Parts: sequence; C-alpha cells; structure tokens
Amino acid sequence: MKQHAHENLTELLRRFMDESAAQAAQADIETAERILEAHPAPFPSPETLATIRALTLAAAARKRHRTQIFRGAVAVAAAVILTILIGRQSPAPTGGPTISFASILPTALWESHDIAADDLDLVYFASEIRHIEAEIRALDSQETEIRRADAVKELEMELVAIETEYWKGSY
Amino acid sequence: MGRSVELARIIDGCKSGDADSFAQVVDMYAGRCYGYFYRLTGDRDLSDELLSELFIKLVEKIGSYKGGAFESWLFKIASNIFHDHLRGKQRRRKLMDAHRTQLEREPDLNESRFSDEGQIRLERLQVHLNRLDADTRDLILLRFYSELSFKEIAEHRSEPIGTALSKLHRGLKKLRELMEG
Repeated sequence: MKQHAHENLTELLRRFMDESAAQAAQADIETAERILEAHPAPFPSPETLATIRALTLAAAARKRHRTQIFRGAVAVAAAVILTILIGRQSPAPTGGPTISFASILPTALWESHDIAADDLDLVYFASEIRHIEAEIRALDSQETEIRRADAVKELEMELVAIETEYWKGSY
Repeated sequence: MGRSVELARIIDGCKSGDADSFAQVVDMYAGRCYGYFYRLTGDRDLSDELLSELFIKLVEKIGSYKGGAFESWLFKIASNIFHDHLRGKQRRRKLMDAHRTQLEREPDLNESRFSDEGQIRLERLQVHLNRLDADTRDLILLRFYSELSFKEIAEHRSEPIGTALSKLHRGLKKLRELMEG
C-alpha cells in the first residue's frame, strides 16, 4: 500500500466514525486502492519524455534570458534615476563661470542640433526602454500560458533581487 | 532522509536554472503525473499535452516553491492545469466527445485493438472511473497518484478533512463494486 505522507488512516477514520464503521471504511478504501495498484496507468513514451525534457530546457533558457535582460534594463534605469536625483541635489551655480559646466560636455554634443540622436548614452537608454517594451509585449502575448499575476509577481521578485544586488554594488 | 536531501539538492539546482536538475525532476515525477492525467482524461495525447504543460509551468514557477512537500506543490499545479483545461470550452467539448465515444465502445471490449488481457483490464478500470462523478474521480486519483495525506488534500480542495474522507470512501466503494460486479 502507498504511504500517503505516513498518515495513520485507521486513526483518522476513527475520528469521524465509530469502531466498526471505521474498520469497514478502511477495508473499502484499501481494497479499492489495491484494485488501482493492480491496474497501473501507462507510462509516458520515451519520445514524450524526450520532448518534455527539451521543452523544459528551452523554457529554462528563455527564463534566464528574460531575467538577464530585465536585470540589465532595471540597473540602467536605476543608474539614470540616481544620476538625475544627484544632479537635482547639487547646489545651484552661484556666479561661477558658465564655461566650467560647458567644458564637461563633449564638443560633439555641445555643437549638436539633435542631442537625442547624437548622445550615445541617450541612444543606449532609449534602446533599453524599447527592449523593455518588447519584453512586456512578449509577456502579454504569452498570457494564455502564463497567468498575468504570475508574471507580475515574478517581475516584482526580480526587481527586489536587482535592487538588492544594485546596492551591494554588483552593477 | 537521503532521498529528501537529494530532492532538495535537485530543487536548488532547478531554482538556479540548472538544465540537468530539471531533467531529473522530469525523470522522477513524469510517470506518476502522467498516470494522474491519463486516468482523469483516458486520452494519451491529451495526457502528453498536459504533462508538457505541467513541466513548463514547473520551470516558470519553481521560484515560488518555498519548501514543504514537493509532491504536494507539484500535484497542486497538476490539478490546477487539469481544471484549467476543463474550463476551456473547446477542449471540454473535445474531452466529452472522447468520453462519450469511449463509453459507447464499452460493451465491445473484446475487439482487436485490445491485444492482451492486461490492456482489457486497464481499459475496464478507465471505463468505471469515468462512471464516477468528475469531482470524486479527481479526489481518488489525486490521492492515489500524489500520495498526499488527507490533510493536504483537504487543504488543497478547500474543504473539511471529514468531507474529503467521506467522498473518497464513497467513491472508492463504488469503484470497487463496479470493478467486482
């Protein structure tokens, strides 16, 4: 007979019925379970098992890839936000020479008429944002396979992990 | 003890995305999970499909496994997958058609596709399982294949343990009578 998490069936039945009824119920259950044991279900075919192994490997690889992309994107976003916050908290210039601020900008940007296109950092950040959008669309399209709640929960967990790693200095 | 330590190691491997660990989980549990799906549906192709879905879901959800009986966690997902499947209207119609066809064929058990005695006995059990109501059948098969305790089953089904015990007893008694009749 199966162990069923080591439970004591006799004791359990006696909690709900008298001695004789419990004995009869136990006999019914054990006999029927022996019938089930005597009629084992078929086993999945080797082809099915091979397919499932391949599918799980692919799913694990997809998950790893998604995680890496998401962590990278969030780290970049966090760095941008941090830079903006630090910039805002810096004291305003008090009559200092304007040239000192201009000199920290690359000449190409200083002379640019389209900073969004010429600033490589901005181009990179815009590309990361497009990447995140694509990931979110991909998640939406998988809605039949993965419940949205699960996806959101997973993203939240990833965000917490990234935040922790970020403050540890991993990024 | 050794088995649970080994299982914990494999699950840790799965959580860190190790491909071999996922393959080991498939090898360990595919048979029991397939048996559960097959006895619920009576359809090998559909059982293949549900089994694939189960293990893909396992990959997606392994991060949310927080310890406790792994079988319990896995079979809860299996049970949810089966019920999600039942809720799909098209699939449901297909499943019922398959069952109807199977029941219509019941008196013809000696036809050539059943090549040996074992196969006939196997199908006979399937026919009688299909005569039980869906909820009782699910309860019996969840108990048999997951090997969960009544306490765990009752929690999963959100019903009192006495109710689960009573339904299982009635269902198994009926199955026994059908098989012995």
